[in-house]
Amino acid sequence: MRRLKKFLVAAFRPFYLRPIRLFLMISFGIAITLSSFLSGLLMGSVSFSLYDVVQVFRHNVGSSEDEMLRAILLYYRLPRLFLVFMVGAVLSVSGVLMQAIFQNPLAEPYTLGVAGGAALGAVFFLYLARTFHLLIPWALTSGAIIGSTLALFFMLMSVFQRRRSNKTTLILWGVMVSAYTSALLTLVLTFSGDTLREALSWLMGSAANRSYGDLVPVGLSFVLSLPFWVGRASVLDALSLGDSYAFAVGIRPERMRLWVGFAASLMAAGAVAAVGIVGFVGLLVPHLIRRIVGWGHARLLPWAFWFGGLFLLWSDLLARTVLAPRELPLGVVTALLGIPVFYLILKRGRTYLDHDL
Amino acid sequence: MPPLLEVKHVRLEHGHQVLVHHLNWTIERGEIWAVLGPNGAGKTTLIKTISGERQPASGWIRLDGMLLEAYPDALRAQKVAYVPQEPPQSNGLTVWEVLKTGRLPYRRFGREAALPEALEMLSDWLALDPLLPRSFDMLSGGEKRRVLLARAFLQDAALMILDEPFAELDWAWQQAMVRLIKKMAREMARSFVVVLHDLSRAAQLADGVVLLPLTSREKNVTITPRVGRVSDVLTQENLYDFYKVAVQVLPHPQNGKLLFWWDDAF
Repeated sequence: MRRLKKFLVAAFRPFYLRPIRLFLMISFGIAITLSSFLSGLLMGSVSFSLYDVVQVFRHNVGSSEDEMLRAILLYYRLPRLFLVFMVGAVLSVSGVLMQAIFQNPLAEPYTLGVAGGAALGAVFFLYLARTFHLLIPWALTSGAIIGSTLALFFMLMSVFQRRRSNKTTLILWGVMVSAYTSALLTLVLTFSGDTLREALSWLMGSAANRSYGDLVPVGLSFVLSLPFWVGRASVLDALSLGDSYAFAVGIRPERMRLWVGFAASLMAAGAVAAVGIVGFVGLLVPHLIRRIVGWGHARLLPWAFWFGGLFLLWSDLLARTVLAPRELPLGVVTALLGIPVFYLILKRGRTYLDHDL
Repeated sequence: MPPLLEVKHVRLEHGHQVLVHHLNWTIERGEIWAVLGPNGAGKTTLIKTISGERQPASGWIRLDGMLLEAYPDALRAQKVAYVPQEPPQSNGLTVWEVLKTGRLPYRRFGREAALPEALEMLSDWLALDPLLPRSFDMLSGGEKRRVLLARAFLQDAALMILDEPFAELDWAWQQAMVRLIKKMAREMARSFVVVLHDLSRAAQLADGVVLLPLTSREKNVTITPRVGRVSDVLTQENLYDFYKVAVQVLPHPQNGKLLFWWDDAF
């Protein structure tokens, strides 16, 4: 009995997140979340004071000027904050899932061409709906989902047909898919002429002018993807040990890759449908989080969700304040921040993975 | 009670090359089997086949009376544990997270089943406690091997298939592992199939031996694999036929286990 107790105590000790560290991280996370949302509300082309915000939330509004303030805060800035938080969270989780199923630290919706596939699908469906007046429900979102799923399944098929997938060939396949989708995208946009003009700004990645209704695609795709990956952290751990080791504990790697890959592409599609192509969130955030909580998916997934949202929230804040009143495309900001991380992973190669946490 | 594993009329192919022409093999509970043979004879293919990862070209395999391929994955993993030859690629997991995946077959609705009492001592047997918080990638080869073996033991399977489990272990750990495997076979009625290269180790550890020949297409001679007790299979003539090496087989003066000696003069 004492031995059992000893084993259990030893076994269930959370190694990286010892209580004090976990507590610090959670309180840090809560503090930074609150302050991020607050500064997201305050900052922008029109700055508000904290007093204004408090007044709005206490419903102490009388004059028409206050009414406008209230409208800006509640119907312009707040939905935008929720939207970028959701998109960042979803992209970052999608990156973690793709890294697990491709057994490759460089996998991410953007680098695999899944985001490109989603954008192509969305634009193509919009084009069909506008030009031929086909009745396609939620053309943008459904097109994005179909495009991203096709792109991801193509990647799975081509990468795992060869027995060994390695770091560089995966990225080559991704480059191929991205280049092809972007060429097709240009083709569709050229043919569509003026009907899809607004798609151009959307493709660069922007969260401007969003209402609460725009939360639906990303929220819905996130909720739909949940049953495919929640509770499978240990399964993903087993999968990252390699196919033989996963099979030995009763997991069909190819089947699991299909389900989890579907979930990941669903989330990527929701994100693309919401704000366009935003790259490198799924690369940058998971690798930063891994340095703190380790590689086990049970801890990695929730933290990646949380901090992915915060990361994109701050990126969006940067995008709309640095050159205010003009806005930078969101994808530009994340690429500027994310590509150095990509460079470091490529350069340090295996040693990046070998570090003792 | 049906035998734990029954291999009947099995033929193994790799690409277009036939590795094993015809194999009949029965594993009872509590038996330790060694799989021996020259490089390229198909040892790994054979154990991948009996672990369910590969399909035989023909013939059938029964696990506990039921066809192996008919098992649901989780149930199969509760009965058969398999440790491949190469340790996994770098993945950043801790040792504890690697070990936890060994309990995956027993997970129901996201909840792990309790560890069986017989395995409580595992951490002590394999000296895992100091390793648990460390990153799996940072371990030495022998430590990785111990962790992977522990993961297989945690599966609590009736049949454990180990591909060269002693390869990276130091001499003392090899002895400890031999003792542990024998203990689990005798006291817990676990069966083991172990791929080995060391004949003396096989004679020390195993009850039975499967000796696979190197089949070459050019010569077009088919040697059937030998299956049987250690003393029946590991004879001077068989070893010459299979390895093309003249070996002296001597019984140990005290315990009668076989020892192998060959002259190193060319």
